[in-house]
Amino acid sequence: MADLATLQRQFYDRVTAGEPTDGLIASGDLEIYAVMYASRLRDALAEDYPKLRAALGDARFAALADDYLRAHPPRSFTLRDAGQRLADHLRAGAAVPAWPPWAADLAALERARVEVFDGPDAEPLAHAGVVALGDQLPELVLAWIPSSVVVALAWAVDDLWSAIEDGQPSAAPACEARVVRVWRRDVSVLHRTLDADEAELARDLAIGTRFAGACERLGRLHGDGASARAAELLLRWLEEEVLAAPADHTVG
Amino acid sequence: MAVFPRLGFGLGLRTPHYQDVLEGEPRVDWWEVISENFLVAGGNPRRVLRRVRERWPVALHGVSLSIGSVDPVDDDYLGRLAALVAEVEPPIVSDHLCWSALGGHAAHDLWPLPYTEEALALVEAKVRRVQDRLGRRILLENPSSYVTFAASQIPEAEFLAEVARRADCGILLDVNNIYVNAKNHGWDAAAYLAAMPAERVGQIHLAGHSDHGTHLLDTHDHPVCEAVWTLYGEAVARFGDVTSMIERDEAIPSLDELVGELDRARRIAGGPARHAAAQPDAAHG
Repeated sequence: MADLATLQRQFYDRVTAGEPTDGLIASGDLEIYAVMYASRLRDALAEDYPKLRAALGDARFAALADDYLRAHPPRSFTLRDAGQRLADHLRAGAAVPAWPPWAADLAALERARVEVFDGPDAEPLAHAGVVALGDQLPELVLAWIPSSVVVALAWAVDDLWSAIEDGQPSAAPACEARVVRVWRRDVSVLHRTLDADEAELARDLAIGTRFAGACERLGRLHGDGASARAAELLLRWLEEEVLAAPADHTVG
Repeated sequence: MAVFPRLGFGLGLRTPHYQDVLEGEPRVDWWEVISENFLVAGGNPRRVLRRVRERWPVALHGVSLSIGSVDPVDDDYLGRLAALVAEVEPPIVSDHLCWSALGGHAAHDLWPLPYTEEALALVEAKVRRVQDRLGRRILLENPSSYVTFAASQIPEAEFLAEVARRADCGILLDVNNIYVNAKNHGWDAAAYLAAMPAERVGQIHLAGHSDHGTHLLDTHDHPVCEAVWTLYGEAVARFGDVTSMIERDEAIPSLDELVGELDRARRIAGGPARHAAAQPDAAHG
């Protein structure tokens, strides 16, 4: 009689990869498990990548899901992470003509939305907190809230995402580099394409930077107009509730 | 002797009902949540859980412990579960008598075990490890299944009862699963109930299934069927007013409809609307 490890290996290989078994079961049908294994994982990917599924169509998405799951069988206890590497998988197979070249970017954008949906909670920086700083404003540390992800795109898939979301006809996205920030405000997941100067600042804010430092960077980009632009961006970010409220707004 | 809290009649907390639960006064004594759905850092799932916990007891029901796998217990998972247990203070923590991972790969399904002495020893050791880490007893649920193994030597009911005795854990008795397995494998549902040690049955699950002609599938997408209600009546006659709940995971109806279905469980059990959870909890010692 096979030991438990051997038996479980036979079962696993049959259900996940269709390998034959010999004398494993006394009754029933292992194919039931094989069908459920594949369908549950496909469903999980479809749930996490609804726009990619819509853009590719059900049949191509199912083929992509099967291809991905063969290469990256889930390793996490949670289905939430089953599709974690889909964008990487698509990038690694970019030369394969089956998947359009923008698919990896769309997957990256959708994955970022999954990440921030149930990412860490954080109190956003409020207008009042900034006003209270007075002449200490230059020392204010600007940092994105933890449930915020900046995604660099080579294709304008944010336009494709919006078209599908709005039920509009969706053309293939333009080959156009963009930087998109995805974040959570209260319980809503949002994303927005960043302006070019915002995109440069986004890297600094990922690790935290003083307002004075942000102004310096904007100065190199805008010259005399930097102060007005800095104020404009600060107000925009406060409105979006995307800046983390530090315990102490100044750096000691 | 094991003693488990009597919580009354509960439902599985599911996303489509969040608003009705938070804003209403549903006639539900307690809620059961799928642990893995809340092992996340923050956002709406954790917010809803906190708010529900302010008003009701919340039991944690896991699907990823993989207690029967030859893989070791996933320490990362167990650590996260322990943190959630500390936060929620659930009256019941449960998972399934099954395996769902091998070689570090997760199946995201509840795969059946061959019922052998080797499997029994392995499950006992892993349950003890989990209970030591969590500092409390867990309950193991009898799984639904669609195959039996040539290697099995022990009837499932005896296997589950022996695991509970050896590992000093509880049993979450899924009455629908007993029915599904009885149909699928030709088992005797009444004999299954009779083999359960009453003092270790800490919770009962009710659910619906779908009939695929050649087999029943435990889909949780239908109301509880008449035959399962009958079996539930036999179970409460044997085990008393054990904490009971209805699971619904697909084709989820309105909360009112599920509460109405839960009322039928109350009537069958003949218990009061709310049972004081005054008995000692399921912790060790």
